[in-house]
This record gives sequence, structure tokens and C-alpha cells, in this order.
Amino acid sequence: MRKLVGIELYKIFTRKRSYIAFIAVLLIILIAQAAMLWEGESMYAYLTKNLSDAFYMQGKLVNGYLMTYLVLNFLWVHIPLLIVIVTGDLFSGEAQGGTFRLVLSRPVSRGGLVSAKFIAGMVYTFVLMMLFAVSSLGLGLLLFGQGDLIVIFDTISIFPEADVLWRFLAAFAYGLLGMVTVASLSMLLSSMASNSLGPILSTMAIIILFTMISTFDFNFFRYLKPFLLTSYLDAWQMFFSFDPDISLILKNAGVLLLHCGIFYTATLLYFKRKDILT
Amino acid sequence: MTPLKTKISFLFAILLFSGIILRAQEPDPYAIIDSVSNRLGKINDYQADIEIEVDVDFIRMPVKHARIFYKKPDIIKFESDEFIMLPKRGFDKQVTDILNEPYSAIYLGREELNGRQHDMIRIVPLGKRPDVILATWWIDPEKFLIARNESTMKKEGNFTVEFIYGDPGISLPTEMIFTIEIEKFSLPLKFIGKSEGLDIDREKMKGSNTGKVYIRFDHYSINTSMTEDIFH
Repeated sequence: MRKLVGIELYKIFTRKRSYIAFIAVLLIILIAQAAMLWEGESMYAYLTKNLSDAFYMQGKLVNGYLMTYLVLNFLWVHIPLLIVIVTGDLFSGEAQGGTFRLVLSRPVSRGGLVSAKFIAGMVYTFVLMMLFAVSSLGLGLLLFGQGDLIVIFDTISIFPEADVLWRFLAAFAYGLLGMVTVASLSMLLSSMASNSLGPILSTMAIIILFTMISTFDFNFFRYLKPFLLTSYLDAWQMFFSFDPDISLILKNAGVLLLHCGIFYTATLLYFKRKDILT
Repeated sequence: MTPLKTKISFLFAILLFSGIILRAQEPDPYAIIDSVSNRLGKINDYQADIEIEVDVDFIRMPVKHARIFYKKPDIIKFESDEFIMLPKRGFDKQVTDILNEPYSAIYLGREELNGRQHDMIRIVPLGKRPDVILATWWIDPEKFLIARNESTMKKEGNFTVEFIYGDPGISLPTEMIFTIEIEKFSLPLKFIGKSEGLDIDREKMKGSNTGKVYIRFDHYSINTSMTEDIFH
């Protein structure tokens, strides 16, 4: 199995398209941080205008943690789209390239191949997420330094510097689980397709559609939300609350894990029965 | 003079005399304020550790710590590794500003505050452009310390500060409790993230909010001939 995973990883990391996501993430983070460097202070002054009428404020709130938090919010919607460019092609790429017959004529079980591709897809997602976390947090802290974190939802929460890092680590860990779930969905769709573009676009369409439904606040959609994968992707934001509802976060994480399990099992069952014609 | 007329004249005389006595016994508000001013004037500089607790509905932050440095007449500096928020009104040189300008004072009577009787004095600043339109001070008649200050600002609404004193030998408070009005908090857009799963009460964001800020002082060092270098 280790050898199979190694081969799958080799396939992923020798393809140029696998680096599109890395370059895109780095570029977006760089551009966002540069914009913040330019306009961060004025944006902060604008946001806290009401407060500055009543309070003297001393300290550095425009810092690396705030920048990372903002980048996290901006990028979270786009990361899944970047991941599926690679994971959505893991099965269908081979089907389109006609290499499945060659691979499966060797002593490799179909179950083993599916597991190896899933593990490789998750490793790719992990590497991308690590790059995302290290570059956004690292660059943010390098450019803007440390300090307390201000989080503005409808209320203003100001977290002490010492209480911030674990929240980011937890948020990234939860985010990784969300992205692995998206990757699993794309691999399921990929296993059913025989061309590369179909599963990538289908996964993107599902994520965009579900996200839109999750965003609308209509009664009808409210009933649908619990059944949508995207309703659970942004629960990482709950770590940026003074009293994070751990049981709700665990429940959401459980739902995502369940999705992963279902997508993996469905892929396994489908692929075992699939006629390999190419 | 008939006996009835004599009685009425006597009663009138008593009432008039007692009125004069009562009037004569009413404390002079200017003298009280002078005593307060003298007591405060003895403080040339001080430094202290402070603990800041902000209790405003839509702001959530833990208790913050800082060190305050003050030097006469009005230099204040805060030192902290943390982000700190302090009320703009009532914390700075507002009391000394009033005392250093012409003002009119009216004695309003006595009122119990924190289990002690206090003189209530209403002050109307008469300076050229006073920030404070009207202030009412509750002053301890024995210690000549301000226990409560209710002020109306020209532009920024009302605020109240309560002063709690610990060591009788120190003219500075161990705690100040600010009650301030904060205009409704408005974000230009739903700035970031979503609120689902977070315990957010949207009602808190509507209208004008009244909040409290508690500032607790400890480890005072008073009149240590502080140099101005510390403020640079």
C-alpha cells in the first residue's frame, strides 16, 4: 500500500497542474497582505470609528493575526476550488489517459488503488493547507508583527495575543478536515467519469450551489442546510469566539468525517463494479 | 399691641431667625471645591498598576493590565504589552480643567453614597469653550475627595464616574467606575464571516448602548519626582 501511495503521490507532484493551487494560494496571500500593508490602518480606523469616539485605544490591532484572519475569510471559499483541480482528476485522468487497464493488469486490487488515491489526495490537500497556513500566518506575522486579535462579527471580540495561536491551529485543522471532505467528493465524482473536466467542474458547481443555498436565509433553504456539505465547512470560525461551542464544533466535524466515509465507501463500491474500458 | 399680634410677630421673628441660621449653616460650595482642589494639588506625579475591565454589551475582551504614569499638570502615559481601551471622557484632566477655569457652583444638599453622607455640588463651567456644560460632584465632607462625578459634555453626551478610595492617606482612588454612553455600533457591511453557531444577540447592536468600564489601581507611587523623560 505504501508503494501504491508513493506512486500516486509521484503522479500528483510530477504534474504541472498540481502546482497551480500552490502558486494561486501564494499569490493571493501576497496580494492580500500587500493590500493590507497599504490600507490596513485606514480600514481598521474605519471599522472602529464608533469605538474611538468613546475610547482611547492603545496597542497594535492591525497585526499579523488580524491579517491572517482576514485572509482566511477571503480565501476559504476559493481553496476548495483549487484543490479539486487536482483531486477531481485522480481517477478520471487515468480513465481519460487509458492507463487504468495497464495499472489494474498488475497485482493491484481495486480497493487498494482507491485507498491509495484517496490517501494521496489527502496528502496533497494537507500539503496545500500547510502552505496556506504557514504562508498566511508566517507572512502576516513577519510583515505586521504580533498583537491581540480583533474579530468583528456583529460583536467585537478582542483576544489576547497569548490566546490566539491555538485558535488558528484549531481553525486550520478543522479547515483541513473540510477540504479533505471536498477532495473526497471530487474523487467520488472523478471515479464515475471518464474525462478530466467533468468531475472538476461538477464538484465546483456543487460547492458553489451549496454555498449559495447556505448563504440565503430563506425558510425553505433553512430546512436544506443541515443536509449540505458546505454548511459545515466554515465552522472553523467558531474557534474565534470566547466560548466556542465545542460540542457543536465536534458535531460539525463528525458530519464532515461521515461525508468523507460515505464518499470513500461509495467510490470503493462503484470502482469495484466499474467496467474498465480504457 | 394685642396678644395675638404679639404672638404672630414672635413666630415670624423665630422663623426669620431660624432661616438665617439655616442659611448660615449651608456649606459654601466654593470652599468645598477649594479644599478638593488643595488636596488634589498636592499630587505632583504618580504611577500605578491598573486593571481595566470593559463591560459593554457588544464588546468582549478579557481584563487588561497596564501601568499609568501621571505628571502635573496634564501628562498621562500608559504602558502595556496588551491592547487597552480607556474611556475618553472623565479619565483625563476634566476635573482640573474645570477647576482651572472660572465656574459657578451651587450647593445642592447632602446625599448618602456608599453608606456615607456627601455634599452635592453642581458646577457650571464658565470658561471660553468648556467641553463640559454641567457637572455634579458628590464630595466627601471630611476627606474632601470626589466620590462621584456626573457630567454632561457639549458634544459627547453624559457620563458618570464613581471613585472608590482605599487607603485613607491617599487622595487617589483604588477604583474608578465609568458609566458611558456609546453610540450604536455600526459596521459598514457584514464585514467578515458568518454568525451561525456563535452566540450573538443582534439587539445589542441597536440604539445607544450604556456601558461600564472598571479601572482598578494598585501599587501607587506618588510624588516620586518623576522626570518627563518617562513620557517620551
